[in-house]
Amino acid sequence: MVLEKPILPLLEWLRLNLPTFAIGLIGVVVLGLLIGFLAGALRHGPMGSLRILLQTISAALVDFRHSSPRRIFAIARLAFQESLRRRVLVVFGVFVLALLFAGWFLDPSSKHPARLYLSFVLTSTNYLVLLLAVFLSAFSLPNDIKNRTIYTIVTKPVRPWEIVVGRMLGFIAVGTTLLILMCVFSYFFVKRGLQHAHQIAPQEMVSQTLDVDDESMEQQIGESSLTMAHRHEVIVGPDGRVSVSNEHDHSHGILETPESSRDGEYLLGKPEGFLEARVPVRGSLRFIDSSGAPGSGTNVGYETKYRKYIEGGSLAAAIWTFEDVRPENFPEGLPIEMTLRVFRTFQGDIEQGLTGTIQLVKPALRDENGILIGPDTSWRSEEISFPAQDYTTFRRFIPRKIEARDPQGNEKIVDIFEELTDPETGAIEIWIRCLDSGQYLGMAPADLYLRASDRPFWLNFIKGYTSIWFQLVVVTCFGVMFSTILSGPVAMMSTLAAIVMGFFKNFVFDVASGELPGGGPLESLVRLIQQVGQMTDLAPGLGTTIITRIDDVLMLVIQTVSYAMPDCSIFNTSRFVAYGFNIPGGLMVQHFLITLAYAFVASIVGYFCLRTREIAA
Amino acid sequence: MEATVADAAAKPQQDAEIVIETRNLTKDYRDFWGRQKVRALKALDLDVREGEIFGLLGPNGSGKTTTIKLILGLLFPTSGEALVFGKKASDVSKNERIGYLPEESYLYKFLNAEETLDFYGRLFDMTPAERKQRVEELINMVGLDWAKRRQLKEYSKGMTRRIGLAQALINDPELIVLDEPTTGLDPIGTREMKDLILKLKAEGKTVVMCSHLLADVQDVCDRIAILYQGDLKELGRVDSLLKVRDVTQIRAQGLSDAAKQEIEEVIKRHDGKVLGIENPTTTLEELFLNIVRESEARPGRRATESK
Repeated sequence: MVLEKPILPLLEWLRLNLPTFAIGLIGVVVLGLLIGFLAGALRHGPMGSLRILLQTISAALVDFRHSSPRRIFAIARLAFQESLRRRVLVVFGVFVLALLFAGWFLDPSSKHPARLYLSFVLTSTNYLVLLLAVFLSAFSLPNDIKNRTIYTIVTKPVRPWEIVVGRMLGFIAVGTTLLILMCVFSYFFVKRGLQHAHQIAPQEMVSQTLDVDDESMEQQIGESSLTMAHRHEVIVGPDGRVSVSNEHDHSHGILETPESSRDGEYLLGKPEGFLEARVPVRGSLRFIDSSGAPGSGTNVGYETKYRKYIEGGSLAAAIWTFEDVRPENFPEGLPIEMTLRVFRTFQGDIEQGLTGTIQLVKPALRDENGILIGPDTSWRSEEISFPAQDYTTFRRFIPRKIEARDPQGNEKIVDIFEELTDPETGAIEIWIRCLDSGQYLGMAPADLYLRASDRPFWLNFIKGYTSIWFQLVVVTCFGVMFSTILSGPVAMMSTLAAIVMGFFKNFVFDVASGELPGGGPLESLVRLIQQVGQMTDLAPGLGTTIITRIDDVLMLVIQTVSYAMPDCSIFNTSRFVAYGFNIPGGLMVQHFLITLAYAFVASIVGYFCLRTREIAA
Repeated sequence: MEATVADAAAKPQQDAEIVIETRNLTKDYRDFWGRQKVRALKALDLDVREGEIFGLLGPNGSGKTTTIKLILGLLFPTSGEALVFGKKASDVSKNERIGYLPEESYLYKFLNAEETLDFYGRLFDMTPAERKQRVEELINMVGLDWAKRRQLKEYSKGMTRRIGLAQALINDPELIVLDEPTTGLDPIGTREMKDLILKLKAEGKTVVMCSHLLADVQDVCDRIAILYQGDLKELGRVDSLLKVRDVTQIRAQGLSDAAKQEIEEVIKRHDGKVLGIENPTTTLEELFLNIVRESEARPGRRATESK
């Protein structure tokens, strides 16, 4: 799974973002006051405008003091009833239909069926629910104003912000109900879709001789039946224990043995390993280049700088440093999991894959550039080889007692936690090398981790849906906010525009900062018409200067607006669920706070817009 | 109740509390560029006193509905101000004591009668038990008990109007504002509406209504204001405005032809001019309502020419 930015712990995130939020809030307030003042000044002159502004603010404070949860609830209830009677359940019907048809189209022979099913249900739910939110929230208030049904509401002692917040809550309630239904439905859909079984008859298995500790033992080995485009290798060991290989991200337990079953065959039971929520312990990554000096990894020519590569058959290595590795957390040993990339300069044997090695090393004192300070006092473990296949997760459990070499070069069997970890910080280094010369292994910091423990999958599934809920809240609040001054279709377009702008926030920043070549909107237009490429400079002159200056202003405006818009993609945690990683609770709290902030600002803006609007005009 | 009515009648009108007051109320409708398009209301000075039925009369486009909307805060005045219960029109807290029936009722069509009244009731400060009781009371009062579970989109115009009125009364308001209350209703509905308005006055409430149906306004209003193209043309008590000063009307029962002859001579002797001595006609409304009442008692075609 790609993790572009590390997940910050909650307090650090707060410390980083709270000042930004405060600045943004003040900016919005100042902008609002300015717009209000200017609009009033046009009609009533500056003094009159100031008076009206003060009146509005003091009236607003009085309104907030006299707010009533009962009224908010009444309006929320009305919004809920309105949505139900507008046949909103049709959306759910569409969803169910989509799921049923998807069963035919989702490729069961995929190598990662769990990922496929999970990302499908989460993505389709996400889009449907957001679309629903936009339609519900953007059209309701404008319809009320158009049909004048709002007359009988504003002539009751209802405060404008109660109308706004009540509507928001009502629509959120509708969306939540639908989301819960979809969540439950999707869960069973996924479980049912992944369910399958294999059989193997003892006659289909062949004997194999194993030499273990100078003893010859026999085991049976065979391939199971073909289901969902894969087979499992089944091994019956000399002691009678049956093990099933891991294919397509899962394995099976044995449900029936030939003795207990009717047809005398082994029956492989429910798939295991599809639906998990791993808790990864991540470390920091540094590289050593092929000459053995500290480096920054090789760039093999891909545009994204997310992954760096190490050269095989050389001294190049990728080194992960983990902190706080203690026997309390990992009593039996270290469960290492990694998903590396493979880059070949010649084809070789594609089926075989490359070979890499894992080595556990005690961290020596190094400066910030990774250069050794003082003598190398590292203990190094034996090098454990592993097969490196592209896009495949490799798991290896390193037992607590392992062969290692001390700084003098003597071999011993040691305890990882005593000799190989730093006694103070609990830090340990894991070195990855590639053996095949001419080939490269690619990795990013998030690609190797220690699998600390597992959380229940269903909880993770619910967390994934909660992330969709956060998006629902933000979109609904924006929809209602826009609908207080704009007509229905325009409010809908504005909400969609806000979502899109938030989505492309990073792109906008990159263009504004000049990191992306090609300039702003006007310059890009000129380049399009003149058919000048992005990397070529435009001909210098007055025209170009004017265009660049205008673009600077435009980009400033777009940048400021984009900055304030919600980036719905950060709320998207579906890949956590699909790839089987636990969504950290701290991340959920961060998202919740962001959602709350947007909801709060949208309510206030909506209040002022509605209050200053002439209802019957 | 009786004592209050007597007191209200005895109190001289000038001392009664002023419920609505407009000072120099002006409304211009402007186009997008701020240029004036229509001057809907020109410097209106009006006051409405507690316990009276006040009528706003005028042809279509005279500013009646505009005045009402300005009073209620649905529109913002271009200049001048409107005060209700001493508070500004834009103050939402005054709405606690007001009931408003808009021109076309404008209710949510997807709710039924009970749900509608319950929803509006929730917007006021009432306990749930109180609210439930008032909802039942009002549904019975407007005579819609038989249709209370039907969605409003299935209602006829008269039924919608009645629910609209119920909604206006849900909070037992002191001031009721009615926009064209009898427009579009059949004679029975009109009679019921007028009876209700008079009943509200008997309870000591203030009613402000606007209409272009002159007969209906004459029947119920105490004071009227006549608007024409935004200007206030006439303001005063109905009875004093309509009184024809010069003519005397005598109504007597059981007079023979000889008696009528004698009365004519008496008038001529006193230099009066006999304008007419004939049997007065009842109103068409009375005839219609009588027929309806009789039909309900005895369904079927009329037997013979009874008169």
